[in-house]
Amino acid sequence: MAAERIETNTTSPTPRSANLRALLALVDGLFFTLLAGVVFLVVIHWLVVDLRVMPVTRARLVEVHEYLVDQAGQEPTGDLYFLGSSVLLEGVDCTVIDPALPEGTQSYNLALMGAGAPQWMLIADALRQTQPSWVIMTIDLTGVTGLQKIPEEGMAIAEYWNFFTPAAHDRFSKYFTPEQLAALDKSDLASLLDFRVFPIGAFDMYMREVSKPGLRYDGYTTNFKDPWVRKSRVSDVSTERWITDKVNKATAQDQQAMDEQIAMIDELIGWFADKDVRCAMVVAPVNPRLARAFGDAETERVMTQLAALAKRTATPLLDHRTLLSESDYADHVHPYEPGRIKWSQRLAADLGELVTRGHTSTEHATSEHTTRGDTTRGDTTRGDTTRGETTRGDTTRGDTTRGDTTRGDTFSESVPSETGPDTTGGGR
Amino acid sequence: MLFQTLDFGVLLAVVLVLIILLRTHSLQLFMLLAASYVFYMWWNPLYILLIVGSTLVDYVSGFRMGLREVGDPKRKKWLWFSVLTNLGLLGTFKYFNFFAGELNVGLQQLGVTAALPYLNVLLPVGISFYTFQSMSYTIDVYRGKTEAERSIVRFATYVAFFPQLVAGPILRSTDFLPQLRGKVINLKAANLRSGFHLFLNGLVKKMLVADQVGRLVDLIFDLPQGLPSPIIALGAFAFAIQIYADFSAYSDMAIGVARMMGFHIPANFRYPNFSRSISEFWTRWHISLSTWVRDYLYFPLGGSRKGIARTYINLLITMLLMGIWHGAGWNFFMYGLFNGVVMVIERATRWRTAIGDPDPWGMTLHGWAKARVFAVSAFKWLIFMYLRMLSCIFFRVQDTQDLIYSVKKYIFFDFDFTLGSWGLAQANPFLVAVITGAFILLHWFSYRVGGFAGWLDERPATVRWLIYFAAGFALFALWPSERVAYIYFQF
Repeated sequence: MAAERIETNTTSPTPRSANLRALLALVDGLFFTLLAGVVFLVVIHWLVVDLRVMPVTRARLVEVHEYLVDQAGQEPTGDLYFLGSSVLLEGVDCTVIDPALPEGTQSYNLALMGAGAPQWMLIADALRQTQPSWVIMTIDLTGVTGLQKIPEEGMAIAEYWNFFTPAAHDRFSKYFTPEQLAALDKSDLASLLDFRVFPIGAFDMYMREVSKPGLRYDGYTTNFKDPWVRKSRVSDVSTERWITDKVNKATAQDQQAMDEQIAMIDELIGWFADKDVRCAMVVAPVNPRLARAFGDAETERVMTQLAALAKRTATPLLDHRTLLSESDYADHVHPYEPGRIKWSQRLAADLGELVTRGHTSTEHATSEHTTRGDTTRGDTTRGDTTRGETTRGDTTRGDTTRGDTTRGDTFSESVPSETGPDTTGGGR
Repeated sequence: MLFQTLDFGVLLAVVLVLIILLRTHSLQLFMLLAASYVFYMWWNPLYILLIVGSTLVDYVSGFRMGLREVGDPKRKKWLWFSVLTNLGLLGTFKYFNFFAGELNVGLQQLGVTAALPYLNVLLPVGISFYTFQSMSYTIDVYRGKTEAERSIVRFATYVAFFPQLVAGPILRSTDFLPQLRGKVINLKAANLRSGFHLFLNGLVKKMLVADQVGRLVDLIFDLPQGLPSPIIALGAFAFAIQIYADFSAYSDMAIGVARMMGFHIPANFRYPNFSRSISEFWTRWHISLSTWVRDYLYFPLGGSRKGIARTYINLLITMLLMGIWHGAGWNFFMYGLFNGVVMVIERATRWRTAIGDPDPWGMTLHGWAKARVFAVSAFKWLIFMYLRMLSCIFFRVQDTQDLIYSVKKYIFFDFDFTLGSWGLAQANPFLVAVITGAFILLHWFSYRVGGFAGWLDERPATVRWLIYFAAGFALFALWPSERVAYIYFQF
């Protein structure tokens, strides 16, 4: 053990000048530490801004925004954009949906991992400028209750790449915390500091993926068509652990989080409507194991609020909660291959109908009814199989339904005859 | 106030400037006391009253004992007054709710509906540290080992000295009060640089090791049920690193800041991870506490002087106190008991003879002798680490069911190596692996050179600059987004 070298204090004071000179001993230490900070900022700019070395989740956000900005400069294509979380990212195959859409209409999966309405707000302005014909908001029930605040790095991205125009800032500022708003007002230099975690996160993600045959995430930040494919299911015990964790984390604050998120969706619907962009909401399939853990009361509570929102804004609401069975999932929330095929086919059928026929309601919400583990719908042709209706999740049916026994009538059942073709995309 | 915040940087800068401006002993003493109180009040202004109260009680007790000769029975009354007041504070704020809860559960099982009310109080940061520090003074005065302090300001500064106030090392009045008596703080280049090195060393350990590894630990032990044995063992290993990096970082920074001002605070750690037995570990880990309980509990109980059986009982009592000193919970009770039992076994089997060996790893030897010593030590170290990791599970997992599950999984190893299925990705496991590897290498290097900060003191400027630059770069790159308090703040 090295001897400690310390000059202990004495009874006689030394002059102030001597003390001041002693302080100079700290100068080189502080200087080189801070110099490292400056060099770090240069390096981080090169890595993150120029080379886009960042976790795939963040890179995806930047890429989606850039894609939208790029599209905004062109003629409106009348395309259909999906917004959602990783459940959508892994659960929907746009190439299955496109054939069901009117000719020339394409669907794009703009899902962001861990995203809900707050994250959609980040790209809302750019999306609005592109003027798609439809925006389909897929809502993960467990995500609605456990609202994910946008983390510091997400706000830093929004600030650095100018996601927020003044109009978007004014529109959405009430939904952000003072800290989040402060992040939007940061200098680029300060945002670079927030990017410091990106290369590390990218490294970790890369290391995890190279151990598998073929990179799972390779090229997927710019892929808005094909689904993100999982290599394997997680273990059963692990799924159970995630579910327990999820249920444990559900708190009394969830009600407030849900209110907040529904208010944000409401705001988004209105904002898109201003640009003639029509919206629909799809309640994503919920793993029956997770649904059981949360209990029916929890999901019904959310559904009631969503149905009220749908009715108020005349936005179609498709309830796909019970579409998939346990074996259709890769883990506690994400659909695996069979689940992805089923859900994509269901969406193709439902959205094909919706987009083809147009949506004419000014007063209703559509509730799509399915049986748990409904596997009879594995077709891409509409109107050819029996639907297997149940009343589960039916929150708005009583007042608008007509002819509900065959599959092709998903939307006819809820289209009020007294209204004409909807040209405003939501009637707001 | 956390050391790694800008708030503390400003406080330290102000203190250093005031040291230069105030060139008399008494003014500097007042300034240090004021700075210490500001430091504590940054967390909760109201709770400064606890420190002030404890200070006044112990000052008066010490002062009154000082008026009488050693052996005067009235001195004992003042000692009891001091000890009971301090233990009363600890009991009220730290242990009352736990005992009330346990008692209520017991009463409920007996069918009694009456229940003790719970106290709606926050646990004051660092209460166990400053009460033990303050108590040691009155006990030393009672024993005649130190003179009663006449200056209330000096005594209050000793109790509340800001670098070590909330997480130690626990100072002894015999060590520290003399440093405050009549001395003027003169800033010295060597002290400032050496203190800076210690501070930087601690900062790197805290921000780059403890906080990064801690995310993995939290992910594992916040919900351990269902996890296989390798993950539980990984969590225990990671926690062993986290708690060492976290706690020793605080001690390094505290000692570094004190050294900048010319104060000497004894080392709190001597490479405990290189121990080869639990008994040796406790001579190297949290030394200020282990020596405290040795001097004020183990020795008064008779230590090892009253026969083998009594020695074992004394060891168990001492380690139990050490365990529950950390907090009110069955896991801490088990932590103390486990360490006590292992130490008794080591003493009975003479396994603890490793203590005091000047070259336990045979570093000064050559050839076959070196290999033999190294192999024996490595074997003992593996056994030590297995036990240390088990004791880390007792320390970390507070929920009883989770604790039972984790201990079972650790002991009855299931060899389920499906590591990729447990959602550990959120904790950046590869980054943690790299950091852990780098830490182990640097830790070994530091052990070989007798302390990294001391080694750095003696390097030429260019080497120092390179290391400042590397440390600065790493700190900027890995500084966690969330501010994480030190684990020992809760004690």
